[in-house]
Amino acid sequence: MASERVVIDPLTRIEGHLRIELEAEGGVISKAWSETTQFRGIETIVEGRDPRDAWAFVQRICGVCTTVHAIASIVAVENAIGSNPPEQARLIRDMVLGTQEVQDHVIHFYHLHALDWVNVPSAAQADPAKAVAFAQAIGSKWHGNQLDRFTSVKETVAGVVASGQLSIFTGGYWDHPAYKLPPEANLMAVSHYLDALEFQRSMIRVNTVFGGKNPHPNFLVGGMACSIDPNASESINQVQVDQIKGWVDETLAFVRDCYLPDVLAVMGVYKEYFDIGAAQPNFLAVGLAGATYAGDPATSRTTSAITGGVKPGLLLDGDYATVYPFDPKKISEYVTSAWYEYGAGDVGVTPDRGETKVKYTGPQPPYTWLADNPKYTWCKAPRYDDKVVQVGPVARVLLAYAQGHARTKELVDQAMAAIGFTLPQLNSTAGRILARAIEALTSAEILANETFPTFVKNIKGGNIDVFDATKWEPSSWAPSQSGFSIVEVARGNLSHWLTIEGGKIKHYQAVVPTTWLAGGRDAKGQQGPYEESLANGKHPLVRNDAPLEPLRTIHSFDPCMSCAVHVLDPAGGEGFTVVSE
Amino acid sequence: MPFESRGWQDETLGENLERAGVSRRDFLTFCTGLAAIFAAGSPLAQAVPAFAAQPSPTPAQIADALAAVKKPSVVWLQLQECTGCMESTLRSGGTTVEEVVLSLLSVNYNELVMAAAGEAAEKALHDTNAEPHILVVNGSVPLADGGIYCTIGGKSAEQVLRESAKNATAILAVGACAVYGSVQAARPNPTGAVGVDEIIRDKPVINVAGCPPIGEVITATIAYLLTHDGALPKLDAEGRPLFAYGQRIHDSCPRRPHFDAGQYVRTFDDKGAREGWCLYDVGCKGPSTFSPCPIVQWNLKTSWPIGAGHPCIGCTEKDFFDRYTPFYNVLPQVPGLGIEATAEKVGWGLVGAVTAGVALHAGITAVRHAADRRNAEAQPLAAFGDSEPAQRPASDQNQSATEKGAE
Amino acid sequence: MTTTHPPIQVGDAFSVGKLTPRQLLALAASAEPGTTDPVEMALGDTLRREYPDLQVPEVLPGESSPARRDRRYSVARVRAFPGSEGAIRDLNVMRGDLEAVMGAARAPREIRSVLRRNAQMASMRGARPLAVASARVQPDGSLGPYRMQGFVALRTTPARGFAEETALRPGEWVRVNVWSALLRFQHWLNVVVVFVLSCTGYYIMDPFFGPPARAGEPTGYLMGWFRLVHFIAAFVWLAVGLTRVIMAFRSRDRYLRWPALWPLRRKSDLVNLGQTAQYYLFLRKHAPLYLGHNPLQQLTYTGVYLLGAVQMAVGFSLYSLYHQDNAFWALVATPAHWVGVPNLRLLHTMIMFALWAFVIAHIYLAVRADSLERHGGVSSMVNGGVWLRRGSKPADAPVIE
Repeated sequence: MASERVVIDPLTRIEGHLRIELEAEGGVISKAWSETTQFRGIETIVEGRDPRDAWAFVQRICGVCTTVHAIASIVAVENAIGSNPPEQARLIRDMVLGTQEVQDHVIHFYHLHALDWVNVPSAAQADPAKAVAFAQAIGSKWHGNQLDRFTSVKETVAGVVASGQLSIFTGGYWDHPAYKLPPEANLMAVSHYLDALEFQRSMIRVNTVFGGKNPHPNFLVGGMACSIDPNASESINQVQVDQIKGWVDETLAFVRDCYLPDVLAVMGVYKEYFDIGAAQPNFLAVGLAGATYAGDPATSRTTSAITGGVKPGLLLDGDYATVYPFDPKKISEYVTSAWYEYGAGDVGVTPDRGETKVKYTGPQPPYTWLADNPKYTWCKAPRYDDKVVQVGPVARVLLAYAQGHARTKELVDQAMAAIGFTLPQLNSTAGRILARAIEALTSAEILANETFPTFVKNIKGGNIDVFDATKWEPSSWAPSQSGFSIVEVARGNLSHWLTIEGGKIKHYQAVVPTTWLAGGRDAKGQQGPYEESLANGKHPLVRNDAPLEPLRTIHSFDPCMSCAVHVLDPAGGEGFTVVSE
Repeated sequence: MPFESRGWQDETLGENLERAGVSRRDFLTFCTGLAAIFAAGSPLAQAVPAFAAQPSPTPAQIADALAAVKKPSVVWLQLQECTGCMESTLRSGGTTVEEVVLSLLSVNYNELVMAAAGEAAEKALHDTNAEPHILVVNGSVPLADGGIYCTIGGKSAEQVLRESAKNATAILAVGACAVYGSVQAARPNPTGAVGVDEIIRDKPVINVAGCPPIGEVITATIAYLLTHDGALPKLDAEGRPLFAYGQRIHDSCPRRPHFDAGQYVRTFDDKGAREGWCLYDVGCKGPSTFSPCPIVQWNLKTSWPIGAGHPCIGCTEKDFFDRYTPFYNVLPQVPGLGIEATAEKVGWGLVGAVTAGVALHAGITAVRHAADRRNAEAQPLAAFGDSEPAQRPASDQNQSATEKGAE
Repeated sequence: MTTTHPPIQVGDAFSVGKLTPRQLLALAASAEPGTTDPVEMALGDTLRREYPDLQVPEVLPGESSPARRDRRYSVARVRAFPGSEGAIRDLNVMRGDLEAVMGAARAPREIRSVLRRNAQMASMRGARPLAVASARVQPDGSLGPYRMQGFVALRTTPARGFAEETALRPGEWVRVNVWSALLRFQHWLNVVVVFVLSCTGYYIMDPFFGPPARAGEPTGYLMGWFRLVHFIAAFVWLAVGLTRVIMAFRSRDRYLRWPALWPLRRKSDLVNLGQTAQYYLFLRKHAPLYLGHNPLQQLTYTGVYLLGAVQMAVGFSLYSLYHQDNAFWALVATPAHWVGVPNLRLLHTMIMFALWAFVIAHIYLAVRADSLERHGGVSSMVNGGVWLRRGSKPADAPVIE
C-alpha cells in the first residue's frame, strides 16, 4: 500500500493556527511536518517604543498564556534598566503566574484535550449512578461527583444529541474505535468539563485582584500598580486577602480532587500512549513552573520565590539522572524550514545576532500541500548546542525528579506505581499529559502553602511596598542597555530579550516554549519535537479521514502557535549582546 | 454560578420560542429584521436555495424557513489573533459559554472548543456557511502579500471570512483584532492586518471592542440578537453597541470624585495610590475610552484595571496601540519629533523659541536705533553750539541786549 | 565748510506751547537775511516749500547771537511774529540744544519730561531736536520770561536703518478710524477668554498641583472648577467666534467683511507681502504702508482665526464625548473617530501653545509698530484710530487728506 498524504488543518483545540501534514502507510505515520500558518511580527512593532509600554504589546502575543509574556517583558526591562521591584510585587507576580499556570493546565486538559479521549455522545447512554461509583473508584473526591449533577449533565448531553444540532461536537470522531472510556467515565468527564469551566472562571480572579482583568491583566515595570494597604479601602486589604485565600484553596482542591485523579484514570485506560509520541529525549528547564530569572540564571538571582531548590539545567540523550548546566549562549535558531532568511546562510543563529528577514517561498493561498517545499512554516527551529530539546511540564518534572524535589518525586512515583510505567516513558503523549497534572498540583500547593502565606505574612509585618520608583523615569536609565528574562511558564521555558537605546526599544525578541516544540527541520535535517513524536513509522493512524491519534499527540504538547512565531529583528541592524555579569 | 441545563426541550425553534413566550407575531417582527438584512445583502438570498426564487424573501417566508430550523447556527471564526477573546468568552459570568454552546446556539464551528479537526472541521464550517447563521469573528485579516500571514485549511483568512460572511444574518467582530487589527495592525503593520468591516462592507458589522472585550459583553451581544428579534443593538459611530460602549470609563469611574477634586496619583504606590486617587496624571486613558469596565467589571465583578491601581490603556478604542501610547503619559507624543517629544516640552519649546526670536528681533532693532541716534549727532552743527559760529556777530551791543534777556 | 554739509532734512515740529506746529516751524526758521547757517537755510527752504503762505520771520542784521560751545543755543530778536490768537508781537527766540535751551528757559519739570520723551522718539528716527523757546518783548522794551515752545526735528545726516522708512516731512498726522467698536470689543474679549481658557486648559492638560493627601476631609472640587470655568469660557469664545462670522457676512464695514480675510487679491499684494517679510527680516528699510492690515499681518490673523475655529471644533468635540446618546453631540464628536481622542487632546494642547506663540509675537510687533512707526498698534485696538501722515498713500486706501 502506497503512502497517503493526510492534512490536519485547521488543527483545532489549540491556540492559534497549526497545520500538520502527514504521510501514512499501513496504519502508521511515516513522515510528519509541523506547519505554523500565522505570522504577526509583534517584535517588529514594539521597536522604537517606550520599554515601559512593551508588556502590553507582547502580552498580546497570546491570550491563552496571557500574563506570561507581560511578566517576561517587564522582568527583561527591569533587568536592562536596573530596576528592583519590591518583594511583595515579586510575590504578586508569582501568584499571578501560579494561578495562570494551573488555570492554563486545567483548560488544556478539559477543554482542549479531553474531547480526544472522552466520547461525549456516549455520555448520553451512561447511568449516572454508575458514573458516581466510577468517580469514587478512581479516588476523585470532587464535590461535583453527585447523582443529581451527573443526571442533569446527562440530560443536557442527551438533549444536544437528540436535537441533531451537535454544536461544538459537530463532526467529532465519535464512532472512532480509539475511544475506549466506558459511558459512565465519559459522563463523569463531561460533567467535570463543565465544572472546570466554572472553576477556571472563578479561580482566575486572583489575576483580576492584582491586574484588574483577565485575559491580559495589567503590569508595571518596577513592580505592580496594585497598592497594598491593610488600612485603606481602595488598596489591597483584608477583603482581597480573604477572597484570594478562598480562590487559592479552591484551586488546590480542584487540582487535587478532580484534575489529577481524572488524568490518572483516563491515562490508565489509555496506557498504550505511554509508548506513543516520544520526541527527542533532551529536556531543558530553569526550575519549577513559575521560576523567573532576570538575566543569566548562572549569575543572577531568581526574582521569584518559587525555586523549590530546583536549579536550571538540562537532561540529555535519555539520561534522566545527570543534570547538565544551562548556558543561554548555547541557544540558536534555525530557519532551514521557516519562511525567513539569514544573511549568514542556513546556520544556527544565537539570540545575540539578529538579522532575519521574511522570505515566503510557499504557495499562494488557497493551497493543498506545503511540505514539498524545504520551507513550510512560520515557526523557527531553536536548538540547544545543536540538539533538539523539549521544554514544558515534562521537562520541569523530569528535572525536578532528577534533582530530588521531594513532592514531585512522590507524585511521579505514585503515578508510575498506579498506572505501571517507567520514568523514561514520561517522554510520551500520555507522559506529557500526566506531567502537566502533577505539576499543576505542585504549583497549587506552592501557591497555597508558600507564596500566598508569605505574601500575607509580609503585609502583617508592614512590608507593603509594591513599586520601585527610582528607575521609572527614562532619564534615570543608561543611554544604552540590554536585558533579558527567563521564565518557566505553562508551556515551558520562555525568554524575552531586548536592547534599549535612548529611552526606546531598539531590539526585541522572545524565545517561546512552543517554538522549541513546533519548529521544523534544521540544517542537519533533525526534525522538531512535534514531527519527531509523530513520524518514523511508530505512531498509529488507523483512519486517514479521522486522524484522532495524531491529534492526541499534538494536543499533548499544548500547542500555542501565536506564541511560537516571532522574528529576530527583521529590520536588520546591529547585534545584541547577552548580558551576563 | 452552577451550570443549569436548559437545553432546547422542544423540537424546533418555533416550538421553543412559543414555549419561551415568543408569539408568532413577535417572531415575524424578527424575521422582518432579517428580511431587511437580506434585501441589503442580496448575495445571501442567492446563496440560500430556499430563497433563491425571489431576490428578497418575505418575512413570512423567512419565519416559516427559520421556524423549521432549530437553534440558530453559529460560525465562530478565529483569524489572526491571540485567542484572548475566546478565553474572555470562557470567563463570562452572565450568559455563560456553556449556555451559549449548548443551550442558546449551535456553535458548529469554533477552532478553540470544537471536537472535530481538519477535514471534519472544514465540513462543519462548509455546511454551516451554506445556511443562514450568525457569524462571530475573532482576529484580524492580514491582507499583505496575498494573505500568506494567516491561512486556515490552506485558505487565506480573507477567503475564510468572505465565505462565512456570505450567508451570515448577523456579523459580530469580537475583539480589537476583528474590529481594526489591534496589536498586529500597530505601526508598521507588517502583515497588513485590517478589521472585519474593512472586508465586509455590504452588511452591518457589530464591533464588540476590547483587547479582549469583557466576556459578559461578548455573550450579551449575542444574547441581544436572540432576545430582540434579531434586531441589532443601537450602535455608536464606530459600530459598537451603545449598551456597552455608550459612556466613557471616565464618566462612570468610581475614582471620578478624586479627578474633580484635583487629587492625583503622582507616582505608583504613593500615598494617593493607596487612597485610590485618580490615575489621570500617570496616563489613565479613561477620559478617552468608551467601555463599560467600571460598570460590568471583570471576571465576575471581581475588579477592573483602574480598580487594581493601573491606568486604563484604552483597549476598546481604535488603534489604541498607536494612538493611546505612551500609556503612562497624559498625552501622546508629538509625531515626528522623537521619543521625548511630549506635548508640554514641544509647546514650551515653541513658546521659548518665539520669545527668543522676539528678543533677538528687539535686540537687532535696538542696535540699529542706537546707530541711528549716534548718526543723528555725528554731524556738528553750529546751530546747536557744536562748533564756534563761522561768522562773529556784527554788533556786540545787540548781542548783549539779546543775551541779557536770556539771563 | 557749509558746502561739506549734506542736505539737512526738516521733520516734525513738536509744540508744547500755544503755537501750532507750523508756527513753531516758522519761529525756528527765523534768520537774518542771507544767513549761511545750514540749519537756518534748511528751515527757511522747508517753510517756503511746504507753507508758501507763511513768511519766514525776519531777524534784523545784528540782532542775533549764534550758539557757541559754552552756550549751546542762539538768541535772536524776531519782529512782528504772528503768534497765537492772532497777536503780532516782537519776540526773542532761543534755539539750540534741547537741554541747554530748557535750562536757559527754566522750563518746568513736566515740560522737560514731555520734550525729552518726544525728542528721544525723534532721535530714534535719526533726527535731532532743535529746541525753541521764546520770550515776549514787552511794550516797554524789556524782555518777558522765556517759555519753551517745543522743538523741530532735524535730520542732519543721510538716514540709515530705520530712519529711512520715515520720511521726515513736516506733514501733520491724521487719525483715521478703521477698527469698529464691535471688533475692538471682540478683540479684548478674546484676550480675556483665551487667557482664561489657557490657564484652565493648561491645568486640565497637566494638573501639576492639587490638595495634599488628608484622610477624612472633604475632597473639594479643584479640577471641577477649572473645568467648569473652561467650559463657560469656551461657550463665550464660541459666541465671540459666531458673532465674528456673522459680522463677516452682514457688516458693511469693509474691514470686517469676509473678503478682507484674504489679502492677496492683486499681484502687488504678493509683492507687498514679500516686502513686508523682508522688512521684518531687516532686509529692507521700508515696509509698504497699509491703512488696515498688511498682507503678512492679515494672513497671520486669518490663520489665527482658522486656528481658533479648529480649536473650538476640537474642544467641543472633546466636550461632546460625555453624551454620545445625543445625536447632536454624537455628530460633534465625529473628529474623535478620525484620529482618536488622545490625538484630539494633543491637537487641542498644541494649538494652545501655538496661540501663545502668536500672542507673544503679536504683542511685540504691536508695541514695536507703536513706538517705531507711530502707526498706532496697541492704541488702535483701544480707540480704533490709526495714525497716518497727511498725504501718505496706503496700499489699501486712497491718499490720506
